[in-house]
Amino acid sequence: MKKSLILAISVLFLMGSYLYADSSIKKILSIGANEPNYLFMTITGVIIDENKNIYVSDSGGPFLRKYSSKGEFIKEIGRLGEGPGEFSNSIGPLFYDGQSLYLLDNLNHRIVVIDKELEIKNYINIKGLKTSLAKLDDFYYLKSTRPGEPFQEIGIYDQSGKQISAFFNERPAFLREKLFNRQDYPVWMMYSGLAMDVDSESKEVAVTFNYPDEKIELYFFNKDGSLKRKHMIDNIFKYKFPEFLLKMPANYPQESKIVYIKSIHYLTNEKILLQYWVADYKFEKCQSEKHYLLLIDKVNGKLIQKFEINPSFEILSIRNKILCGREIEDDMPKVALYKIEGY
Amino acid sequence: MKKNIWRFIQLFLVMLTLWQSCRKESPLKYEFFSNIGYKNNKIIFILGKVIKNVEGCNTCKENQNTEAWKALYRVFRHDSDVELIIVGSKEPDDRLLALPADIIKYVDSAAPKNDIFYVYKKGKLIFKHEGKLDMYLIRDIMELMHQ
Repeated sequence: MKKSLILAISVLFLMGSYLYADSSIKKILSIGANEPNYLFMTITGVIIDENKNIYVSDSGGPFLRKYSSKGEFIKEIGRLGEGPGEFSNSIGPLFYDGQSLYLLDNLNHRIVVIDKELEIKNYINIKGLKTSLAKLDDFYYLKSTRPGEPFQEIGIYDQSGKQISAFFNERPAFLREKLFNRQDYPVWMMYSGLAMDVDSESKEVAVTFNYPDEKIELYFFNKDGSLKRKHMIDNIFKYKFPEFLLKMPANYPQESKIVYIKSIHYLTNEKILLQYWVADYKFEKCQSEKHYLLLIDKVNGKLIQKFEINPSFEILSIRNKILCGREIEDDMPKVALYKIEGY
Repeated sequence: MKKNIWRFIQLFLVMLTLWQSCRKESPLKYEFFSNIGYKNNKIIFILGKVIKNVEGCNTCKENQNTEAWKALYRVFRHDSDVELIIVGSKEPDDRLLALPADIIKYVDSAAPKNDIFYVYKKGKLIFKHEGKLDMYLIRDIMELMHQ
């Protein structure tokens, strides 16, 4: 009697956890097919607006496309070039502030301001190569490498593209107290890369290092760049950054592990979502990889839940708990929308 | 007499140098590419020397048209009457192996500076492009092949 009761409870528990896990993250839409308007090459940004229209930037051109909430093609813009209405083949990410779309055009050194009808409204010229774009009120936040150092900083720019200030002078834990060798500059640059996102409600910028050490370092800044809060979160398994990667070329041991934070996003103004990638290496060949979403409480830095996700899915933006991103399905790049429920 | 012999030797050396340099830089003979494979409809991608860094990796290099070729391959891989062919030089390079193709053809000649795409339909050249292939050009190829 006791045994069957335990068995029944276990079955119910397993069923419950399965249903719970299944209902937590669900694919709601996929766009991509071998038809001209649905064929993608290199998706760099996916945005959903309040009417659930979907905007997709693609560095293979056409550079910006609009789709309905059902995934039907509406419009596209952009030719390769440097003139008005033209884009370089290094674009992205795409950002939406509730009114306009902002597309970073790296090689043309400008931010393109576009309305929801895909009419180009303005160009903001910026100096140097930037790798990320976000906007809070009248300020733009762009990532770039600090002059003379292989570390990144976040620049604050005004509406005219003029840099007002820069913030973030941290380096990841495994690089602190170390003198970098010029020869290894590119490697240090790579392993001190940042991921960032902004929240328009709390007016703050969240930053983390792409390659964490034993702890994941999470920083929260006010929109003027002053530090608001910092959290150190345990990695989801025991891990220390493998130092051999800091040499070029890296001398891989027989077995190693690499952890990578692909992106950081505000799920709500209280919860942060990290896209977390873990790979097992045998010498320099990746043997297996797992992708997780870590849901974190922004206030106390505690891990609330982790989800294992499709390894080819990459989040590019989040709006109303809808994860907008790209994935490879049937060997084809597609736009994918997932919904997180229950939070 | 001695002077003439000396001049002849000089001329010979100049000719030899010119011949050697021309031989090294001789362009690929493209005419024969239409005969590669056995189908009348084919897309031929001649790999050029232009390479770029792979996104997120400073030391990894790839061809500038890697993604474009993959997109073309995805479009035409199920068309049984279209052959997708890559032609590349035998320079020590594994870029060729990383790309999907029906036929990979190695040639001895030096690679051209830029990538070149040829599209043949029923044995006739209907499209040629040199340089970066974007989605608009891929759409043109789709349209031409499916017309």
